[in-house]
Amino acid sequence: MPRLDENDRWIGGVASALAAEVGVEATVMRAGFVVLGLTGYGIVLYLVLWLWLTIQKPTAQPERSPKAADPTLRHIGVLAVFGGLFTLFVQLPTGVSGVGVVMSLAVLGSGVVLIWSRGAVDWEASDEIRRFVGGALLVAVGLISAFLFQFGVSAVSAAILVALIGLVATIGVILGPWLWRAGTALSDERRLRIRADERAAVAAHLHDSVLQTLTLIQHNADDPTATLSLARRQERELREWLYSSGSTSSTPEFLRGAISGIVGEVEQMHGIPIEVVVVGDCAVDEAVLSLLKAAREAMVNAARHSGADRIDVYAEVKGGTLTLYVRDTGVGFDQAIVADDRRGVADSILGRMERAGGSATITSEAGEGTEVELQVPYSEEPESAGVDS
Amino acid sequence: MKQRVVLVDDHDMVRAGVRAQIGEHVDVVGEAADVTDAIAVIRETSPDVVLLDVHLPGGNGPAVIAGLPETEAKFLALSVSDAADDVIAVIRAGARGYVTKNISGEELLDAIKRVGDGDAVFSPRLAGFVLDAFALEIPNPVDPELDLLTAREQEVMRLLARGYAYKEIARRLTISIKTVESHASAVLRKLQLSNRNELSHWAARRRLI
Repeated sequence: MPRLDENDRWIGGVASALAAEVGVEATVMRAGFVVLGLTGYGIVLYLVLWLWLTIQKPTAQPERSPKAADPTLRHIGVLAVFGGLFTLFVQLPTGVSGVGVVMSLAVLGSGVVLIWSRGAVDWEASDEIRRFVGGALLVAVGLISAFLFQFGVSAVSAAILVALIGLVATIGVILGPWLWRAGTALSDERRLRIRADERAAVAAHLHDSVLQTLTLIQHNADDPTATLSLARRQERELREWLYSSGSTSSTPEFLRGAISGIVGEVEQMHGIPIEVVVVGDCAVDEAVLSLLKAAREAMVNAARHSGADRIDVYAEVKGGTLTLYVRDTGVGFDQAIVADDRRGVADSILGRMERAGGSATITSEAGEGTEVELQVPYSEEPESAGVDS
Repeated sequence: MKQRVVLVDDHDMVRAGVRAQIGEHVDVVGEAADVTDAIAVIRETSPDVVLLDVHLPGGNGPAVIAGLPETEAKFLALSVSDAADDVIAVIRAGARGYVTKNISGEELLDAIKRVGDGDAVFSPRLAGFVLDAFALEIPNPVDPELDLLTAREQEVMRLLARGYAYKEIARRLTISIKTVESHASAVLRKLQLSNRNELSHWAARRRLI
């Protein structure tokens, strides 16, 4: 209910009271009344409203929430109401023409609906929306039926057209933003849910891996070898999880995943960092598996005997052949001297590679380090990775 | 004369660690923790070499290089990131090399010296990345030379990926270290200039392990 405000008035305070109620600038409302006043009828309207507002008993009114957004649309609505009234008042003394009145009323009606809909309205409440649509329909139906009775059919067709256009425009203005907002809200919600799921998955993973490892590192703080290998293993796991999640190549069925697994084991067992570079990828078939076992042996040998502080592993999948190098820059050895008692090298590496249809070459020089080169043919490249063709 | 170095990394611990590793042998003239500071510090101190973290608040490593078009400083990317798109972004922005943070102090000093001299520095990982990226044989119709590695360049990259140092590669291929360095620089140039779409597709699809 509009209320007169003693402190904010020019004449009776009607304009400022209505402005406050609708949620627009009082100046706009005042200007509207001034323009209406020029027709004479506007002064009557003002006095009637003043009287009406004065005899209203001031009732305790709950604080209204601030008007919803879009004051611009409410201003447009107010202007439409004044415009409608003005054209209507101007026509009154000279006699009423059907189309003119209909247009005035249509403008007036859209203005009212616009103001009404842009007030403190909760767009989420479907009740409100039904009321607006109903209201708009009523306005249209009212206009059409009124002119059906008062003027002939010829005026009616024009009237219906104007009323329908007004109706469609009004509904568009009212429902458009709502539909848009509803759509945004839905996708926002979906995005939030996906984000929450992802966050939960990350948290679970970090808890199972990183937090556990940090605890283990704290327990092993006085054992540098254990600490180092724990940290390295965790680093490798985290990298794999970060950079290759979801791709087939991170599983042990494919070379990359399988090498990672082996390297992780050796690092953990021997506490030595192993740098791995893999170019391309292939499925782990029997021959590849033999190569991987030989490679593991070579890494273990390097970790145990070379005294190097790092092992480099490089694997390359190209043209039907998988080649893998295990290299250290440690003490090296003379193959002729150790060949007899190092069954590990003979059986696990050379023999295994021969049986798999591949080859192994061991290059070592005392003081220069050792490199083991392993080769096998492979059968199949994964579709999503590997050297593309 | 000691080389003048600026450290750019958003982690204090990392900067302190790197400073402890190399501080005796080079002159660390400045540090910065984000893109804006880095640009200001490098402008002010004009260092020979900038050790640049790939991930930085305010725009990442490539933004620092892009913000200093006039600088004489050479950039060496130093990162824990193995994501291929990070590597390629910083190299293509103009960094002369890429090493991972678990590199030893000695190797890092060597890399700084090399980059300061205008050479390229390839960690095994970066070499593997290059081999992988150039594995596709799609000739570039405009400049086919940019899109293919020569046999010798491939050989050098393969040895780098296997963990060989320049010195060892030179001995193994019986060429001079200078020649190894010029091969490496040529590959770096191709990596920076080759506009084959494949590089970016590759980076998006594939990660180095």
